[in-house]
Amino acid sequence: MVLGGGGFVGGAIMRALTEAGFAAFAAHRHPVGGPAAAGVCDATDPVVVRNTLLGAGCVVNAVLGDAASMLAATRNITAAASMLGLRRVVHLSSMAVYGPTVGLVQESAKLIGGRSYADAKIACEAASGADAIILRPGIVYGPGGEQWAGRIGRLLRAGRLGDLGEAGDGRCNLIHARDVGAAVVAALARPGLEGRIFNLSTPAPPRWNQVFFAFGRAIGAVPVARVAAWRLMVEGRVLTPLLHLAKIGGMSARLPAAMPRSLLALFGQDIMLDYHMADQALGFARTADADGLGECAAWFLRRYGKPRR
Amino acid sequence: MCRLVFAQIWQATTVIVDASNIADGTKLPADLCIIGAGVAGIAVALEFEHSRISVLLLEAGGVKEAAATQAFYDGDVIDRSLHPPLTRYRRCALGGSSGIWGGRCVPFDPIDFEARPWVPRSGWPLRYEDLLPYYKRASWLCEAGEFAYSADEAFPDGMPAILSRFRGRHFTDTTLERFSCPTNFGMRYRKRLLAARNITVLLRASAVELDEGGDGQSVAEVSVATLGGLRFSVQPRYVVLAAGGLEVPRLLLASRRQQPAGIGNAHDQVGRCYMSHIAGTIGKVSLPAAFGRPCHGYRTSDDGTYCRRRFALTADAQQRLGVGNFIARLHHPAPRDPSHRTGVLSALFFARPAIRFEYALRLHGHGKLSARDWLRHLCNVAFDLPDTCRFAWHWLRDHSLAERKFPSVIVRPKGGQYSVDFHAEQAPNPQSRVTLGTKRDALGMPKLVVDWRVTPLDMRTVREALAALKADFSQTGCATLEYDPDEVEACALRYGAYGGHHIGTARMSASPQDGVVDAQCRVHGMDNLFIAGSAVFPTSSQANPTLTIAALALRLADGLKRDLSVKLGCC
Repeated sequence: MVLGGGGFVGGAIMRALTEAGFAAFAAHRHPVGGPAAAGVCDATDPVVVRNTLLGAGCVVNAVLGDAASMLAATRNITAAASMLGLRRVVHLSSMAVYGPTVGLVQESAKLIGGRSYADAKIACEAASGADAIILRPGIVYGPGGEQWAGRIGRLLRAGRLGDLGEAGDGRCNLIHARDVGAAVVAALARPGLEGRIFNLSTPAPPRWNQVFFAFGRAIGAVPVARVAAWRLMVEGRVLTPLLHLAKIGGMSARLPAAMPRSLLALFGQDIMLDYHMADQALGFARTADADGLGECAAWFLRRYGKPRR
Repeated sequence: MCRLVFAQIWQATTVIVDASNIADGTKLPADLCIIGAGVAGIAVALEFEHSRISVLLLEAGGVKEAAATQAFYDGDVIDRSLHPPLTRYRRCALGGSSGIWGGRCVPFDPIDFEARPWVPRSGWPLRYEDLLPYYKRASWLCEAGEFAYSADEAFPDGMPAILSRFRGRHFTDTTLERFSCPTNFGMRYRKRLLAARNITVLLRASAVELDEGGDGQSVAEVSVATLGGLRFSVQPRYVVLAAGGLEVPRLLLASRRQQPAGIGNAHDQVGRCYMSHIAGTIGKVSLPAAFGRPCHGYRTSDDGTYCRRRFALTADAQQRLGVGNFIARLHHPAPRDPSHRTGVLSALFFARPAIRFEYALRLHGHGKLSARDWLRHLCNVAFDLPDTCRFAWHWLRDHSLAERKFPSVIVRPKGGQYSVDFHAEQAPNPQSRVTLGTKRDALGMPKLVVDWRVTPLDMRTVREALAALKADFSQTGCATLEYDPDEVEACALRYGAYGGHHIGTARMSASPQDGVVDAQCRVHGMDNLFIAGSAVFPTSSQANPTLTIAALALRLADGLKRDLSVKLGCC
């Protein structure tokens, strides 16, 4: 049972599980179509979670939401899994738990968090039970991924992203959604992994500036603009709060994407997830970055059309 | 106590430290000590970021240029008409001379690495192909975009030729020069240096001597001094000397505790073969109206980099003519001469006092202008006011306020006549050299004496190449180039050693008899001393040196990583 299986990452996990021969079912807060749909599931409701997990052998927690919802869902899943005696619990965490750490980061590194999402993910890890297998993916991207393909592409086309200079020197710890699915399959299938934690990332993460150039060129957002530091400051400190206010005021329909300061900080964060443990224990094959970005570009062009010259 | 102070600094979160915080007499341990935080030094340091190698990057200047530290560079020039003062074209500060460079990035050509019988002492102990992977990385590091230095590679959809229908027998117009922002390495990479806990940058820390160990084959200590009177030392496993083409021989020659001639100078090679480039602007290029307008300006490539074609003397032509490497650009006429009738150029001439010395050199001239010429300049501006205002706006928007700056002034002269701007290779000449003088700087270091000389081959390169360009133009009929052959030498030497390119003073060679460092940039006969920078170039090419400096530094760092991984079991 994949809770949150109707989302972008959850969907990729579902496909990987199905291809690997698992009898996989997806539950989501919104209705999910298809033969594998297990119905609507409000993961913040312990009874609903327990009922959803009845008869399942393993559960994957891919629930996303606000901090309180994610924590409540994790607690409910942990409790239900324990009560129902599920064989495996795989919990999808995030590299955000490392906070502003830089350099090569192993799974044993101190969890710093610092922002609400990161703190929530740390709390979820703590609540996920001693036997849960925790996956900490980097930037989960792929065709259909609005967050790291659609949004980035639109910002590149608008000239709001591009060559960010030192602000784009951070490492982009890419991991294709398909590879996250493959990692989940391995986590469920391989013995003796209970209680272990794995970073999921490309072995040689490119810098964000490189990603912006490669993706920008692939979607025709050229020449890739040099974005001045002052413009990024305006994005983070002025435009984003204004967009947030407009969203609160119900004007979210056609608003441009915001670039909050946390996102801008990520572009400059020189963090490299150590991928070796996942390689050794999970042994899944990864999509090459160039291939993955190419897939995203093809999807983006289908979704948003070719650039106007 | 001293070690304790340093340990505290080492563990501090901010690892850019002013050397005045180091206690007198301290001995600082480091796996790798890099002397000089310019392009080469920072390129090497960044290769070790977040590794287990402790890196100490010594910079004689501060974060910004200051008169007191800039004065370290002062020295004597034998012929002041041929070489600028030693404090010019160099910058003693974090980032080094990348704080004042123009950003032009060009790789050396394959022929530059070959031994050419017609160029004495030519030939590198490495091939172009050996450097190619590092060029690719260096181009990004310099923020000059992809390593696409031909029009076909950079612009697969086509890039207009400089002159339509140009097909030269001697020259090609397919190669490009690409432009960095221009990137000040100190400002651009300061955040990464700060974030790397294993890298410590010591500012206002001048290396004044390299002390060899008992075996005379390795540097055991680097003596460091500050203007505040402090003296301390670094005890490194490896040393990379990346202080620039003039400071490198100075430090080697001044380090004579065990070897009286200086380190690496057993065969009297340090400081010899000092090269720059021969550059100038000459002649009148007229373009027939039927051939349309020339495209001598910049195009932006996909990565946002400004790119420009130029006329490059082919390798075959160099061999056929028996000359060095040479390139030329279609250029506006000299701004000083008001006959160009172009308001922008006259305005530039008026603005020359506000332009930095290094870039205003060509705007100045010999002798006084007549009152009539001043009046003509004023008339040029007045009658060409709309274009002048448009240019001012373009310059403000695309150069002054832009992070990626429009590289240079591109105008279409009203008179329709252009000139040729050339940049030529200077051949290695052992008599062109830098030595230590008797004067000393504020830290007691001997000052340099520069005796820069040109050879008949250098002049022949310019003469023959210009004649070949003229022939290529007239053969296709796309332009006519007129110049006085008797003025070529004067024109080539008008700006002397051009552009602050300090090359060849610790040249690379296969054998210690012919140079100072080997193909790995390791000083001949020394185990742990390496040199990064243009000092090691055996020949100067037509290309500006920065891209090759960065590429060689990256290659050197790769070699060091291999050495360190064997010796220390890390990296």
